[in-house]
Amino acid sequence: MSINLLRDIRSFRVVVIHPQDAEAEELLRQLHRIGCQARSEWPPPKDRPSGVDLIFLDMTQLLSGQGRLAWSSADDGPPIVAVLDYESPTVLKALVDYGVRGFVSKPIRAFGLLTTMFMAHRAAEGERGMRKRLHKVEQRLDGIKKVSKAKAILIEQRRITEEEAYRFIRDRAMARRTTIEAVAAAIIDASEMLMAENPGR
Amino acid sequence: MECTPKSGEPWRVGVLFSQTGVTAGIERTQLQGTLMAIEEINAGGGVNGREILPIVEDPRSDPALFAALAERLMTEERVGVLFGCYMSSTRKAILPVVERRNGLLLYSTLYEGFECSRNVIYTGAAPNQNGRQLADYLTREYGSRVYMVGSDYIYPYESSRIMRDLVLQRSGKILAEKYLPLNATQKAFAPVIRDIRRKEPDFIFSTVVGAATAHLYHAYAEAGFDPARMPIASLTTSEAEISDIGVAASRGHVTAAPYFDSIDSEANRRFVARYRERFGEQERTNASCEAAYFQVHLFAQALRIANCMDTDRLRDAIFGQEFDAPQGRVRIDPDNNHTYLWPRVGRVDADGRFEIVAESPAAMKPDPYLVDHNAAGDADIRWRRQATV
Repeated sequence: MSINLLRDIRSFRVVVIHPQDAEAEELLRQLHRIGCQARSEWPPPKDRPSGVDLIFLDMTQLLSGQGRLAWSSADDGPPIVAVLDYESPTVLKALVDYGVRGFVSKPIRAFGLLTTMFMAHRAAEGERGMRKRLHKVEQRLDGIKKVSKAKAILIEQRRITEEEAYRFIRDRAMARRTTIEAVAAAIIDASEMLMAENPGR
Repeated sequence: MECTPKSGEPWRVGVLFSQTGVTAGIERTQLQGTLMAIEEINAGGGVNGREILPIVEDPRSDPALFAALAERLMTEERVGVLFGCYMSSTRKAILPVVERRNGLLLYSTLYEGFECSRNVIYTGAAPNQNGRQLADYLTREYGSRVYMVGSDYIYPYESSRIMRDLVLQRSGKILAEKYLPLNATQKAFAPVIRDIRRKEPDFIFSTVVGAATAHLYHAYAEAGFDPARMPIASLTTSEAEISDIGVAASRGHVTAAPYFDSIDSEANRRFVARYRERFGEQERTNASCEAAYFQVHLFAQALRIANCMDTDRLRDAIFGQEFDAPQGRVRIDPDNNHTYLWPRVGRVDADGRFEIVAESPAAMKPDPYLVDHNAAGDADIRWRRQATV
């Protein structure tokens, strides 16, 4: 798994958003040594670069009102690694604003670059995985609430037990080849419709 | 780096202050302070019998040129110690050069903190040595509705961030925060002046730096505002800027700095007199100039001990060194390469001199990584306000 990740890095397409100077050159040289396809871009593009696996972003120019980018890191987008020459609070806040996952400091040293890219990539992947899991868990929780509410409706209306209510929902789901949550949602909807027609009940 | 030069040969040091460009006005005074200190030391027999020889270059306020000249000084001229830089962008530009070649930069300008290079000694104010003192004075004397305007780079952003925290903690309000380019013209300040007129702040916190400073103060004066009720407050407007701005448009405005040329001490009077004799009667000293001056003396003390230009030995020797500077006794803090300094607040009088309206009774320890300036203890604001007439 980790070795694959390292192999992946060698095939990365990287964009270096940094003024064209000695520091940018040093960074590009090292990226080429690592095996990445790296190119530089300056001034910063108006839109988030597409078709790249990692972005290096020079922070100093982006702090001012004029310099601020309209885009930052996207949830599913390439991770952003900052290129820093300051680490004062204003800069740290910008790292959060831009969703930065790692940094390299100036003067650029070869050592640390591979590690930073590796960890930024891992962090981005890890976060993507977490987000998927979180989404699933949220959906499940939502489902459980719905089923619970649907059961309560059935218990009251049909004067059955909880177990009977659950079986009712499950059987309907199997018969219609749909999910228990979908049946529960339909029961809740129907019940709300009927309530609306008979306010006094 | 070359350690001990051959017998009789001078100690060669590099000097990198702009003599042209947006910050030449103040950097020229730092160059002069540096040269005067070197001349004093040489007049006294030099260091261990050898004179100090300054190799002066003009980086023209351009960070790329600062880097190129630092490289040239350290390689071709084989210089291991540099005195220089005003703006942070120029310091950051030469830092890679100085670190790579293990040289030593002595940096005599106030800055935004959050730095501690092994290859730099910082003798200008760190943010905890001027910001809080200024905020305390202003909120007490004028009120706490603040309008912020500055130049568009990191030092103003950080200084404004700190002032914002300090003001909000004092139940104040930030009415605006505007940034203009370093080369802004006076016309560019017109919208800011209009906005100030509308919003009626208690004071204007300016982090405008360099040549544009005069534009702000002139625009203010032309608008007819009253500094007695709504002063411009700054960390950077010094005697050098007042010479540009003119006394009329400077009067009543406030600056926080460890040094003003009006400091009433024997050491300062001698310093100012010698400076005027050397560079002209109209010349004025200021905090950046004074730091450039005393840091050379501190360096010479270290050099006397180390007796060589090896950076590691010089650094060890300079840590803890003290000197009776014109502002008071200063000391290099071994904890963080910065300097114990004497915070003061001054207000420009009718003659264009700073009346010192508040001063710390003790030198303040530098704390370059301080984030929350409100959290600093009471000891930091032990200060005594001088009676205002």
